[in-house]
Amino acid sequence: MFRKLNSLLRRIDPDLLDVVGVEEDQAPPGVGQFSIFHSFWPIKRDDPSISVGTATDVVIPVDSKNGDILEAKAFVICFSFLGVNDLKCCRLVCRKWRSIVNPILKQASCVAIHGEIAGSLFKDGAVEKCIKYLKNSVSKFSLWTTLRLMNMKESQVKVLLASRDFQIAVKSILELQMIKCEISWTSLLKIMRQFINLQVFYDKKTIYTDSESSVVMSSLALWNSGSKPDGPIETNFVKKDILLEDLKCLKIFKPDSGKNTTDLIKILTVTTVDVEEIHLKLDPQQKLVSVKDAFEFERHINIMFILNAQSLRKLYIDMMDTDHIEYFNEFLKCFRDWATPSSPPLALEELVLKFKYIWLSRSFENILLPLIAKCGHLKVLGIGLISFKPESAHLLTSLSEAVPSECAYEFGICVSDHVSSSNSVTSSHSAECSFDARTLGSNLLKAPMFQKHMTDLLVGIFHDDVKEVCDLIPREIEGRGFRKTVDVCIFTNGPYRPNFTSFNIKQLAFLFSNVTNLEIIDGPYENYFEDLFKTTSSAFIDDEDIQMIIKCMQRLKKLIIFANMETLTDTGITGLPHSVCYRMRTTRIYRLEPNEIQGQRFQHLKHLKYLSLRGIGTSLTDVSAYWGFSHVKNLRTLIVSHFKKLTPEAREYLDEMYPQSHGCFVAIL
Amino acid sequence: MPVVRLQSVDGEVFPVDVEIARMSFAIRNMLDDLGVQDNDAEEVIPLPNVTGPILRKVIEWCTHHKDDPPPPEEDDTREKRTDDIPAWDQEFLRVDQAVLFDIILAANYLDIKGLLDVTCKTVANMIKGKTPEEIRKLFNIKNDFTPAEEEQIRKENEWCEEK
Repeated sequence: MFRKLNSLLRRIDPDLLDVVGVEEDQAPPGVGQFSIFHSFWPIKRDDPSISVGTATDVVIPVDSKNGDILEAKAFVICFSFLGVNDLKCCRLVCRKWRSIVNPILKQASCVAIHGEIAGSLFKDGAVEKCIKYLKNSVSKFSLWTTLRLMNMKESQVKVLLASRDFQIAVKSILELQMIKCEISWTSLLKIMRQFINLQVFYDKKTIYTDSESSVVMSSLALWNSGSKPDGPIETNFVKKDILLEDLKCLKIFKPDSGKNTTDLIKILTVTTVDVEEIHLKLDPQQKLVSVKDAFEFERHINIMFILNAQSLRKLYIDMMDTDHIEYFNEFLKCFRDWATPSSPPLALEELVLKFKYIWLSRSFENILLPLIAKCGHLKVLGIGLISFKPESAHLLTSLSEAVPSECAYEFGICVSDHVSSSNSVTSSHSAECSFDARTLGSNLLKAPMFQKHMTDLLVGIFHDDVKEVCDLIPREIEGRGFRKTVDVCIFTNGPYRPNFTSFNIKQLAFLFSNVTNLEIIDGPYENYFEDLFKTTSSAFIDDEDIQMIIKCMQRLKKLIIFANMETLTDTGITGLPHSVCYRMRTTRIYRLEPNEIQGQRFQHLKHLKYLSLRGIGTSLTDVSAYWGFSHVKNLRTLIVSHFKKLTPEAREYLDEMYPQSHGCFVAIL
Repeated sequence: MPVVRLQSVDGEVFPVDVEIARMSFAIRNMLDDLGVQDNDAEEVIPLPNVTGPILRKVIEWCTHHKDDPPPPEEDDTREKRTDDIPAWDQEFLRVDQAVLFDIILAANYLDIKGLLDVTCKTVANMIKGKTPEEIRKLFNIKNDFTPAEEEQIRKENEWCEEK
């Protein structure tokens, strides 16, 4: 028995071999040792008495190499807790660390070339510097497979694409991210020719500037007979020449569904084949987009889906930015060809549909349910935000029946006291009907299925009879709240309503301790933009509430509060006792004495990028600026309104702390 | 409460409650694979990779955390936190670097996820915000790069940012 025990206990994770396998260069013996290990390593590394296991047990003798494997393994885990900047330092420590860090860094980072930083002057010669680096460097960008082009202009991209060294370097690039660039269609096609091994194309808010996209479509027509210049692509066209054979993943994040977006969809449709993954995020109902353009967009999305129906494994659609209440039903039409009884089974493994309002309606029943029933390999199904109507709740049962049993869910849920009308969010209804919708939403939140799988929650309060948030969210939740939920938005709408009095932050902090985005808005949203100096909220946020948020919701990246904060003081924002705040205010010396207690500050929210507080009262002073809002490591946007007592010096201090040149935005009104 | 006896590489034997020993997935799998029953309690399980003092620390940690709820499912896409080490663990890990690394290796070997996480977080916190030179000094590591190599990495790093 002991021999077997020994061999079992000496089993080593096969992943460890990968760690050693990736080493680029071996340090010479005796150099770069981990003296901390060598001084106390408990096993005699070359002890011949340690036996090798049987062939069936994957057993590796404990020798010097395995000692190294374990050391490497320990550091791999330690390094996995580090951010990119720390990893960059670690790879400068010694050769061994470099070889351990490189694969982790490669996963976590990319090569980035910035053309221009938002709101600042042109960054001098980034492109020239890059070309010079590539010319002189031995390693070039060989470690990385992802290239990010950010804020690049057409002239800069042209220079890059013309460089021989760049052309060689990009052959190893598998993922191209273009973020907020402005380039011509012609350059896009050149990129497609040069990045021959591209597997992932990521476009976030890039604008293609050629006035004549027809020129591009003409050249595409040369490759692909059947598609007419500047005309729609037919589903039966023949691709003669596939430009990007390996491109299997498209990630498109656009502000609208205008012509620019549609043309990109067209180009990607004709230049790729058998796409396996599509991510699409935009606002299809952006007011500037004409009805005709919106129609063309949907038509080409549909064509893209049809042409890749059999290869597509992952499909993520995010249209959360549109407020159009019926858009989900309209968008489902893009799937109608997939959902007919005669259409073949689909290979989809992950399907995520995120819309602000999903009504369980006829389209849901006639298109989405049959479509899901065709996805026999579905592993992840995300749907949100579902608005519940009492009369259609049975469709959820049909949904769970259509989905394979091993599939994981991600639900976004919209709960409100609003009635089940799908015509208008603001339409009024009888109190009885609204009560039903509310009870239904509240009861469903208690269901383990939603507690476990809910990722997004939108709470809308429309009627006067709801006094506080917990009238809509159940107080009692089993266990530790909604652990998977990352996005919570609670808003009240319509005219000024004095009856809504509390967000009940204590309850929210308990229920949603893992949340990353929290928006709580009392009062008509628009009024805050129309009249920034007038508070119209009636729900109070006080010192304890802010302290509770900072203490309990440590994953927050975005925090927006529109509320009545007249009772909020520097203590709430800084966590300092009232006496200390008073002393700082009166002496104007913003220092702590020894042994003075520090409470919760926004600084403790290490991931916080966006902070907007609207409606703070006259009690806040410079103490909040110096102690509360300062030194938030990742903060990029700070918006505080009604901060009337802030002095110009403190304002300047915050402006300097979050400079525009670093991409920060500070607005204190 | 059934007890198992764990033997360190230097021969020290520790009687441990089965439930505490089973916090180690390596031991748990082994007990399950071999179908070890309560009446086998007199038999000793040898742990050839762990010394007595380290095994004592590991058992102390497991005993303190025996009633912890199972760790929540971590989402890999989320940035991992290192500022959430409980006060008791911080105090428990206030040890020499050498001991700390020995505990990491033992936690890895015995497959105790909670202990591995908390110890690695502690090391990550030691590294965070430090320059390469400070890290070398901290861990007593010799810089074996040539100046040209070091310069090359620095230049590479300039083009690298978070994905």
